[in-house]
Amino acid sequence: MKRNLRFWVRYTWEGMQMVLIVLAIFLVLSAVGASRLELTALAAAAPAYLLLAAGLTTIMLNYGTQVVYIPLLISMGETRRNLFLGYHFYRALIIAAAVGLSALVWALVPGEISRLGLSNIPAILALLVTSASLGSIMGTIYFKWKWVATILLVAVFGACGGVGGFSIAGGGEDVARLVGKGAAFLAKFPWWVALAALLALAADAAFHWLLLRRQEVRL
Amino acid sequence: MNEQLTEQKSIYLQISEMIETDILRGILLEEEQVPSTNELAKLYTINPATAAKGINLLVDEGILYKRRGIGMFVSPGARGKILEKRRAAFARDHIAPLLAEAKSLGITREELLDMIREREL
Amino acid sequence: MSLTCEHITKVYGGREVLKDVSLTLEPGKIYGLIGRNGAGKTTLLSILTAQNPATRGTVAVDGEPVWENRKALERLCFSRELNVGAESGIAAIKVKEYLRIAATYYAGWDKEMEKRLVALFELDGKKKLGKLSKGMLSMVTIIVAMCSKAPYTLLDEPVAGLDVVAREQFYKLLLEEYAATGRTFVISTHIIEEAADVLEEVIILHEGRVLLMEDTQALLERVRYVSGKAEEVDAAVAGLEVHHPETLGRSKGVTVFLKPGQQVEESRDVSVQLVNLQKAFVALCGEEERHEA
Repeated sequence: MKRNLRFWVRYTWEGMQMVLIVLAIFLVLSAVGASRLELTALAAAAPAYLLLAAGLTTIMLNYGTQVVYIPLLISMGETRRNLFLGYHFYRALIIAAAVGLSALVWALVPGEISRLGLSNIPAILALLVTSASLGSIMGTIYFKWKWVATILLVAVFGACGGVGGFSIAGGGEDVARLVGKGAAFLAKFPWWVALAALLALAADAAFHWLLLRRQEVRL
Repeated sequence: MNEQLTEQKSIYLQISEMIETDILRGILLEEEQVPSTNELAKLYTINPATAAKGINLLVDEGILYKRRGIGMFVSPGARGKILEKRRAAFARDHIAPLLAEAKSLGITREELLDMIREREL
Repeated sequence: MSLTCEHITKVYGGREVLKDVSLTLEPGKIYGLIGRNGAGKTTLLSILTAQNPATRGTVAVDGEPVWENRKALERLCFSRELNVGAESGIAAIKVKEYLRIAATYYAGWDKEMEKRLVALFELDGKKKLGKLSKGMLSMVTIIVAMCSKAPYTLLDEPVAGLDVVAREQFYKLLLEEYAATGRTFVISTHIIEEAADVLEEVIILHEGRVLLMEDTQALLERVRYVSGKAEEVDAAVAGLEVHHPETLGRSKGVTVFLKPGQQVEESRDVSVQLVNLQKAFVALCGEEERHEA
């Protein structure tokens, strides 16, 4: 297990590098977009971008891990159980690092955004776990049955786009107000958000484990 | 030790015959160490167990002997033993096929003896 | 002390790829696994090392079941044949990284040997696996197998794509490592004749079954190619196990597998020759039907 952990910690570091690159791109874009550069505001906003980047990374990385590393590591004599644990450990590590780093920045930089951010940490954590788990389930489906996943992806994105388009066209609500609504919702942190996170995680773990037990190695 | 292996004889027999031939030709001298199983295996790209079988055959015949912890050596009198053995096998290994071939070609006993007489040894 | 499988059956989509295979591989031997394409060689090696699950049957190494057992898996290394196509996930991994991961997971990894072999094969560590030729990929699998130092090391087609000099290098390397450590090796190969003399025992897999497992030299000592006039040949091999008869006009050639105490009838006017492993294999697994003379 020690060797296995060594690999996954290293892999997490490589994953974090990707998170940091995505973060850097977001920061540069927003700095360029802003009318005037205000460092404190940028610093307070940075964690939001970091969390977004971590969210996207954890959603995306499942597929790559399943295609590349899991079969490779089975072929090098690791047990499926240890690889399962290693994979979830690695994902938890990325989420924990992103949330921890965000909390730290918000604690150091005073202001309205920071206060809001800090108070929403549990909800953010729940959202990240949910998105990572759903992304992972999607990745597992994509790995096993490409065409099913393709149909699902088209359906999900189609629905999102449709709903988004309708609400913007119909309600005329601007983005700032939507964000405000979202923040207010998070601040309340309804119990079912936490429950959804746990359920998504459990579903992801069960699904992943079932397929991993039967996985055949092909490199 | 540098002959090529052929398909028409078991490899371990070829290994033991090569060592014998080297002893006959003075390439390996009595009381001298012979190549180890692993050296032979690597030289001929053969399994060490096969090489060992060839060597053990010679140990059984008293042509080689083992010095504990060092390796295999040529026994004193090995050359004499090999000569004796090869002479004993000469009729079977060389005369019999010669006669069989002569018979299928219709060469008579007298013709065959004449052919041998014409040749110098 | 052995790598043992009992009653292994593997079904892929309704087709039985392995049929009730039982084997005991003893420590300290070099085994050859030979069989035609699709005979089930890679599947068998994968199941022996828990890389693929068996449909039925069990595998144990030195008494420990291998499935999901890290302790047992530490004694094994199955260096797979790398078929890195454009679709392959590992195409983007660099040689250096691949070896680093192997070094992380194999407990006995020999770093010095890795350096020596990378230099011997003139491999560029910065190259991606997807950019390597078939021969270079074989070199990578050979390096992983050798450096793993696993007591039971299995190699699938390790010489595929290697030129004749590199193949010779591999066999010498194998014999050197074997002499130094006494590790058990199982090597599957299509290039039978070159490997034959290196293999202490040969396992012939045919259509998912173990057709034969025997000391290679003992096997070759009991196989004969008998040829001559058809009637003479038939009379000479009467009652023997005959395979792969070939005829050309009045002449006929057959391969016979002698059982202890049997021999080819000497009084007949036929040629009796020894055969090499490749010919023995073709006689056993070739297209022609087997029949008792």
